[in-house]
Amino acid sequence: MAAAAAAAAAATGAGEAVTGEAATGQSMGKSSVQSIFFSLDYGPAPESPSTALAWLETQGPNLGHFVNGKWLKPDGQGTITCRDPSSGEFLANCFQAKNEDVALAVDVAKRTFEEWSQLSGATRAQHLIRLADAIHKHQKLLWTLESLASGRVVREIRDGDIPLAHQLLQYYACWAQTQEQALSGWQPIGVAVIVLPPTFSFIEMMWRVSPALAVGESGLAREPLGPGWGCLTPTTTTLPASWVIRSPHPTLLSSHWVSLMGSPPRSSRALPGWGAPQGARGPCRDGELQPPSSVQVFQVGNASQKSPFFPPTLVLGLAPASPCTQREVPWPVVVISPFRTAKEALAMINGTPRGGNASVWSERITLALDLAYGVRMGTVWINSHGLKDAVAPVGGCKETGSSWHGGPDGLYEYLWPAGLLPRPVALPEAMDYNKFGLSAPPVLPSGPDTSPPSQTAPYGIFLAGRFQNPSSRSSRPILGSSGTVYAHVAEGGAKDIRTAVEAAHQAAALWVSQAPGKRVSMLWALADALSQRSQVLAEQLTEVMGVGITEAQTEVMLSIARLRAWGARVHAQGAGLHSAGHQGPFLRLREPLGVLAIICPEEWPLLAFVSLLSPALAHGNAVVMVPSGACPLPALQFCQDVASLLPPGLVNVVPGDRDHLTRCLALHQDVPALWYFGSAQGSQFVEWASAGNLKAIWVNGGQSRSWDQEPEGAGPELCLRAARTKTLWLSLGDI
Amino acid sequence: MAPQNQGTELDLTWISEVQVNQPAVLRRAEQIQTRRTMKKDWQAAWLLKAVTFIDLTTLSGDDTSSNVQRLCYKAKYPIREDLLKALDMQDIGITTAAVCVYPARVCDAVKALKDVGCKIPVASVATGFPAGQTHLKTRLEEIRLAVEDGAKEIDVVINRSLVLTGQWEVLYDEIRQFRKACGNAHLKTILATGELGSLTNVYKASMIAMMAGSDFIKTSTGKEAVNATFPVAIVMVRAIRDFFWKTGKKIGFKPAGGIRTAKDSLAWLSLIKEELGDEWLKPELFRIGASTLLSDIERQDKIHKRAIAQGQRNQSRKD
Repeated sequence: MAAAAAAAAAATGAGEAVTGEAATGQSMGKSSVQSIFFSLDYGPAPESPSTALAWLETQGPNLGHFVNGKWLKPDGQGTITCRDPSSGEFLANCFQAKNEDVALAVDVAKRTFEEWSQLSGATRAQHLIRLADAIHKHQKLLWTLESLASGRVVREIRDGDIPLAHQLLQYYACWAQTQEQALSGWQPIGVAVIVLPPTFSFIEMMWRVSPALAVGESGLAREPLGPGWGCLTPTTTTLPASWVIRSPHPTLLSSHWVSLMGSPPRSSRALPGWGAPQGARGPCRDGELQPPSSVQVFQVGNASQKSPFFPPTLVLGLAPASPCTQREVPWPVVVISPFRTAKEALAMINGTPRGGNASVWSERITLALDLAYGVRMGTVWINSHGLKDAVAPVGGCKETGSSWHGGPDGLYEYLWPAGLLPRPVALPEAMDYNKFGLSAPPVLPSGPDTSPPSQTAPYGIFLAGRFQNPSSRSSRPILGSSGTVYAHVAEGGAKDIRTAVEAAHQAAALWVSQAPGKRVSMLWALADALSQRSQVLAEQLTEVMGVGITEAQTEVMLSIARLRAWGARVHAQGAGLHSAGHQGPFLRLREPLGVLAIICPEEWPLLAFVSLLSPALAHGNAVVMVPSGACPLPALQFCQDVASLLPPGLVNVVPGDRDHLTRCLALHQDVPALWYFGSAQGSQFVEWASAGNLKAIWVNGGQSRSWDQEPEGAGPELCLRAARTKTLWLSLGDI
Repeated sequence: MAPQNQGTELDLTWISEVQVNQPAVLRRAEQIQTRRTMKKDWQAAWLLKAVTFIDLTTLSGDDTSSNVQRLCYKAKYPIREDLLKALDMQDIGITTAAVCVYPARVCDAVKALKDVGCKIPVASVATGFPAGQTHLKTRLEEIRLAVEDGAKEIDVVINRSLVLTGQWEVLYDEIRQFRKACGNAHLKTILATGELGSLTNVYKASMIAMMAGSDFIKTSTGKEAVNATFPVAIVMVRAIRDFFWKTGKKIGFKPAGGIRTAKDSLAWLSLIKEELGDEWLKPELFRIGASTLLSDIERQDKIHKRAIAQGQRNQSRKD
């Protein structure tokens, strides 16, 4: 009803504004005061859009591209018309950008980046504050314009978005101010391209632009006003897939569906698990609900009423398996499903492909916290819904995507470990994704093993805690540095990957519930076991990789140190309680990703393997690892200790053809996260594959890392990647 | 007047598992005050409507027959005649909903209202107002005497100690006896929410009062440190709604104490409209207890402006 009323108010807005205070034109039979006295209707309370219209007037009918502080209005370009969604009235035209416009913008951004990133954090903070002040001073223009363009109620924007935008800039200005100390291990990525779906609003842009500016990025944001910039597609694919933002899908509506953002009313009572996208409100012109017959649908108001927005709707009796339930539910549609036990509720919620947000309603704190911890969502509110704050990270997992905004997490999206070269921004090479690593080339025996008996590595695929025969029943020769066959290792394949993932899933559930102290002792026990083997491992490294014995010994020593270091960090993973003013406190939790697939780099066969394994285990993940192809022996050697010390299935190591195994893992639907350290082409494939199943990925883009250096081999970036944030809002107050 | 609420059997299951989510109530309360704005004619009409909900009150130690008489006159003519005329509202017969006085002043009020020819009821506070810390016997006697004197509505205060110690059965019995003592008069039960400790207690006390047969539940005496607030009101109207859903009986709501400005009164009307619906927006089910609110409403620029605008309109029509 609110939506419809708002639309009506907005629709009459223009007329009302011209009529003005005098209202001389009216003439009614009965005094209008008298009729209102009896009906007690709410009158229209339109916000005059004159400020917004006057501003649009200064822009002429065409809104240009905002580049380099100026409005560019190139001649002879196609335009897209932006209309007031509630009345269909013309607002402005937006240009459709061409490649050269984008190139120009990128150029300018690159140049500005040089200056902007060189400024001291304190200076940048001042700039941000000035921007915040500008928003504060001209807020009326902003809210009327935003309301006009989106059809949302002024109140939502005036009382919600504008203060939040101000708060965001201020919060990230604080980070900028202390950047030199607080973010010393990090550097800005460079030019950030932020592509927002046409439905995203001003505040959605601010969530992302503020942190980027704070850390010294220069940015390009796609204007949320109209569907401009069609040519950005090639650029987007080079972004890490964690940036993929899926716009809300059409769900129960039959035909076209253009979603608009709208915050849910704060008192809304969505059922736990209804990760309704934070208020994607769908205007509907001729859409009708077409649910299965067993379903009850309740709608506010008359569906035939001519409103551009979908009415508030309640759907009952939709089975969990129904396609409607599985898809994203747009605001304001609430689907209510009954559950018998809390356990069942949890299974239903985690069964949806969405991982955005949920609210849990219970007065029993034990139950509420248990559910809140159990649901796999980015944000969970206990006994409240829809709270937002600049300090609280917002993100998700599964199909919601794993990009974050707000809080420190929003900042790290735009940061890169200091010292590491940023990934070169290049258009993706043409490659046949359907063929990459489709099958492993056949391997043939090429001579007897020459490794001395003392250095013989165990044979097999390390699955579920023991060495098993490869499903391919064939082996791959590993050449020594002299070129002769040093040993044969088992050749893993798709079937082994499947078994490994299954074993890992079983182990992951148990590993999460282990006390952190237990994880510490296991990692340290592994370190002790590794030091027992240091002699053999160093010899293997010298024989196969051709490095000197001292270097090999250093690699082993560093690996032992890594296990100890990550063991020690188990207790300090950045989880903590934060305050969000009068809205109450929230917990920023770091939860394991679940089953993590890791494709190790070719170089540093032992150190890189251990450097990646230890943070993954320390954060509570179970892993499926593909070791170095050139020298998988140290990793397999190490697995003997894993077998005796860790629960079966927690660590699985599958040697074999790296491209083929990468393909199997990247396309696996049940692997929530994947780290890839290999070729540029492999990275590109992983990014492509993750766009289909939306797993969280981390790829190196073909660049090598110095695994022996602290920031690159054991820095905070690993910490960040090895776990996922959850924001858990605690509701507080009964006095 | 609406028929009396005869109450229901005491059913403690209605309150035993209730929990009020205070942060959510606070957010809703914050929202309700800013959500709706009434402008122009709407504002004038709503303000005039607010006048008809007022229980015009004087509860001072220095009340005498003369100021009670003034009060009653004001109750009959709450808004200046010329303003009403200009708004074309002079024939509606706008009066306040009632006058509310101490038991000793009931006779004065009844007489004064009769003298000005006004049929609105006289309400009397009773039962050891405002603390309720007297013997039950004298409290009941107070009600009977006030009714004898001609009070049509009795605003009783509950014994807060019964709520704070959880003696719901005793509270129910006491109000039940108040109900009986009232006879044909309406019973308005003051919960003194500022002294109940928590919103959950406010809900429980509301429910008990309605089960025991109150026609109205009222927030405060106006003498506590904290009086009518929006969070408390939300809890009470939700209790009214629950009671209506369970029994089909509509119970009235009366916020009192601390409602001083015209702007506040609009927010209160809006709260009732949003939470209970238009059916509750009538003097039989909604009252505002106030002593100074009326003068603020009358002072409102908006009424004057609309009156002038309407006057011009009428003028031009005649021309």
